[in-house]
Amino acid sequence: MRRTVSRAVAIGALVMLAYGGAELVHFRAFCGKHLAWLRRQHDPAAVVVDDGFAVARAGDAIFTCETDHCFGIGGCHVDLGCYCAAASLSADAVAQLLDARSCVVDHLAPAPTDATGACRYAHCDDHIGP
Amino acid sequence: MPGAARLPAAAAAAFAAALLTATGAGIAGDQRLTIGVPLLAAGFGAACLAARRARQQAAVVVAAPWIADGLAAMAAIAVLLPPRDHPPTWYAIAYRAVPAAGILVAGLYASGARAARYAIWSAIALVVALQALTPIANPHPFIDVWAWSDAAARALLAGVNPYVVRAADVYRGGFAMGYENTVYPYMPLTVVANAPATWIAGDYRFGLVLCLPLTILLVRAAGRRLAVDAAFVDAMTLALVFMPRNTYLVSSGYSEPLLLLTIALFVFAAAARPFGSGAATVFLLLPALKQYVLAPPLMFVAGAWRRRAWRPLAIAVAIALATTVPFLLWNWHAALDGIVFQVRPSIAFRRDSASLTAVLAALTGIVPWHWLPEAAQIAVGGAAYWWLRDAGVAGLLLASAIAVDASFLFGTQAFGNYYAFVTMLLLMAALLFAGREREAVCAAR
Repeated sequence: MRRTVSRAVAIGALVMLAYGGAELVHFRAFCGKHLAWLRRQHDPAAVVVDDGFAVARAGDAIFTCETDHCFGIGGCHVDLGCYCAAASLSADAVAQLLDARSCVVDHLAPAPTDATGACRYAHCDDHIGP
Repeated sequence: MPGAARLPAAAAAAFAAALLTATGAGIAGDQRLTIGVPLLAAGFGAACLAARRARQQAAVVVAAPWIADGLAAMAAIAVLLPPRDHPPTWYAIAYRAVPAAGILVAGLYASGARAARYAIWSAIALVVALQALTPIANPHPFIDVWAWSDAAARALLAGVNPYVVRAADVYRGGFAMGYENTVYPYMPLTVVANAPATWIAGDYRFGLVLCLPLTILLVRAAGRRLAVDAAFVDAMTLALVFMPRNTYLVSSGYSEPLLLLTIALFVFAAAARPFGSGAATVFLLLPALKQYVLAPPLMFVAGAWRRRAWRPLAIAVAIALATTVPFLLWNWHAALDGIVFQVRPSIAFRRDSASLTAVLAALTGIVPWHWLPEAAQIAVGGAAYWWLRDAGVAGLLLASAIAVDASFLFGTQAFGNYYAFVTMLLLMAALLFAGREREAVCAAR
């Protein structure tokens, strides 16, 4: 019994390690928000988000925020994302809610047709607040 | 050692297909396309292998020493799957601790020790308890499925047509899926099924909680009827208990637990009389519960027709229609609008699907043809049914799994909950193949 249980635990651990490895590869090479940050470092006019499902709700503004993204042994890197939050919030307040390094307003009144700024067509990565 | 059980070759392949499908569907987030979809595709391949074995190697028995390993791997993926929304800490811990215990139970199962039987029942109790606590831990899940289903059930209880009410947009316009839900987009029978729990407990998900224990009891009873090796029935039980999306289905309020229970009830009935009135009635409730069940009822009708089971067929069709027609008579326009909502050409392709088409779209930007899932299900279903036409009810379920799986893999929308249905079809096909001699006797009656 001890042998079969040990084997099951070893398989479980192996699966989790393999999954963790895949996540590490994604973190190091394919993290979309970090790639957006890198793009903006090279070109301050580069797009951060212009597709996806999340969009600004009525009364939302869109903020671009720099956050620290850490992955255990994989270390940390800087992410840049678009966040939808109430337009009544200041950039500092959004940064505090998100525990971000900093946030700046990208669109105060985003529109689905707006092809300007870092966060286009009212798209964002996540919603902040209710 | 149960893990080294010997099984009919088709049963082993169908069971492997179920584990691969359940595991692939359990992978979310960044690895959905890189790990999840390849596992789902492997599951489809294993299902096709099962079909080949069912016809060409029906008498072949193989060793299946990998069963406990597969169960442990599947439980490990369940540990990695986070609960939906932001539940209380105690629930989030329990959500991962229960499948972690499942890894140990898989090991105990492999040992064949006396303790294994207690461990399996303890595992069932743990998962059912976790599911029962789910509506309490997350009373208002952030998903439109729950909002719509809740509004529809409450409308029915108030005597209002559920297809004329409009649920509040839980997303407050924060998600642009490419379409706007304007009507309850599910089948009338789901409203009827959800209404009692809404009335008694205030949340229809408490009704969904009952589905897993009932499903397990029916599967185990069907296993006994079919004289299937008890160790394989235990493996089947663990596969159901530790399916990674299991509790997620309940927390989101998806209708799949009802579908799984219906399949289990069908297998229980079919184990006694494969094309009798009871089995026929239950099988034809599947399309009355979910619109994506398209080819399986056609296959069943063809099978019943070949066996001249006219009376069971007539009863089953009448009962299936009876679940829908009253709503059409109540307000045909509104009900039809809801029933066909998902197949409207305006319903956009979902790039967040777990499908081969989502992988293709991510790599090339190519978006599938709107009717591809329906076409795939009918075409693949036709071929699978023809190939398995003489494999009895096991063949029917396997062909159904292959057909529905194809429509998801090549579909415009496919999510983890969809594959729970495919997993269940594959598990039940495996159970029936494992008890094939008995089934053949029944079919000959």
